[in-house]
Amino acid sequence: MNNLIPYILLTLPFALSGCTDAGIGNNRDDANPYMDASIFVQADIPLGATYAKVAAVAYNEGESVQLIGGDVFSARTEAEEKILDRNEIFPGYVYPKNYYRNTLTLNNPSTTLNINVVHAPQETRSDRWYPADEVIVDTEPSKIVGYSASLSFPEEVEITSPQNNLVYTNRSDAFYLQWLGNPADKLRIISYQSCRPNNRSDPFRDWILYFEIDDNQSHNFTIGDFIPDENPIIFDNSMEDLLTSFVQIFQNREMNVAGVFEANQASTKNFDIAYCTIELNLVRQKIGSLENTINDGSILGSRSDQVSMEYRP
Amino acid sequence: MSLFPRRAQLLIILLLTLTFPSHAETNQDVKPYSIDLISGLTLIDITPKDKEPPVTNLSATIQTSFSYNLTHWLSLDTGLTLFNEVTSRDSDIAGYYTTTIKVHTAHLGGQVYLPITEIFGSYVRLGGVYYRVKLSVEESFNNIKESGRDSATDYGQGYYYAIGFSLNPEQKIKLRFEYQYQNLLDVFSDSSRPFDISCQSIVVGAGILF
Repeated sequence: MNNLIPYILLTLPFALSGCTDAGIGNNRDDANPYMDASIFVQADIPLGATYAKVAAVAYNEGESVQLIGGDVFSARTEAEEKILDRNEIFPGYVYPKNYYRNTLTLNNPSTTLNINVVHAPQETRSDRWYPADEVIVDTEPSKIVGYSASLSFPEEVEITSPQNNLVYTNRSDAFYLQWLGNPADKLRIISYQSCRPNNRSDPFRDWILYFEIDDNQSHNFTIGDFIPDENPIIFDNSMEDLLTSFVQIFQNREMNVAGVFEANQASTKNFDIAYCTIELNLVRQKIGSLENTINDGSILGSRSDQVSMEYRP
Repeated sequence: MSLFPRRAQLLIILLLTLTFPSHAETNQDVKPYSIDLISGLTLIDITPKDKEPPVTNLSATIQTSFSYNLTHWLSLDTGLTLFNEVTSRDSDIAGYYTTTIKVHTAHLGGQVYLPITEIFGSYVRLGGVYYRVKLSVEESFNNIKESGRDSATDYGQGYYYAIGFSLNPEQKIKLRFEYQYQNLLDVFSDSSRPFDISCQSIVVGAGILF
């Protein structure tokens, strides 16, 4: 009997602690926030790149919709397939919350890129520290799962003038934008301006501008088209513009875009400019096809080039 | 109902039984048995095999042990350690998730005692541990989908070592201060992401000799 005392002492707390081990995943199928979903997708190849930057966003009656619980955009080229991830600017800070992006290797720019909404409970949890195949609260796929789209890319666009990093001193200074390549469906200018004040204690100002221009290989601009004077520049933010600016300006860039991304005017009133940088993106876009029963949206394949300049009044 | 597999139970019983017959005659001045209760704080590091950095949490610990003293300086001991559960929260593209880890261990090993004065000394303990780890996950999805909870339990082996000081103000009582390290190996070893758990503890406690 004495020999059993240690064993009893050893096992008693374990026995008292219980040993339930239940796997429960609650599902709900009655809520469907995607009934009238609009999906916008763009993939862009910067000049000389062997990759495509891909971004997608979902809306429902004008309200942003998050894909969640394992539902996710998946993009596939002939070289690889990837999930589009959240735009996490730094750990814990995601903006915009309903935008998803990734970068895919592209061996051949004349290939097709496919986007699908899939239910991938394991892949979407693959970065967690614990084994998600052992413990998971899996949910039913949403109605949006199964939607798909495909795109191809237009001919390359290459800016031949002006040269990079030229400095202009007046708003009336003109520059002649020239580029190469045959037209596709649309040609857009997406430019990002950032102005620094002479008074270092004042905050800097930045904004984005959108233009659609004819794809006839040249266009005249003045610096005043990008840097406003006392009168603000008012512009519309279409969903396509926002997505294009996300792909061209913000994707894979560590900056706080809140307050810039969806702004609809730019002003330098009461702002003593020291200098401004202008990052001008020329984006040639080709319309792709949305399949199945997506209510609204667009899919664009694009190729782009960029030129930077400076304004020092 | 015991949580130990039958093979582990038999091993523990065998080792304990083998040590018992020789106790009485080894040394008349040595109390043959002692029961200790210690508690303290533990730094728990969870290190997935293929992912850095480790997940670190602070926990409270309580440990009970039973020792059989072979001589003045050598003893065998076994016992249980209960670590308070540790929780972490995070989010990713799938949603928000809260993980909870609950660790229990049983140890079996030896202790070497090095006297410094008549009532005060230092000691080293080392041996093997058998663990039970319960992993729970609660996930929520921004009210778009219904939240839920899931859990799983794993058992396995590891090792421990400890260094400490012991004070015996009376023949039947001892006080202990100890640094202890337990390493639990290959938790959920059959899963896609096995991990190790290391537990570094600073503990104090007391024991009764009989």
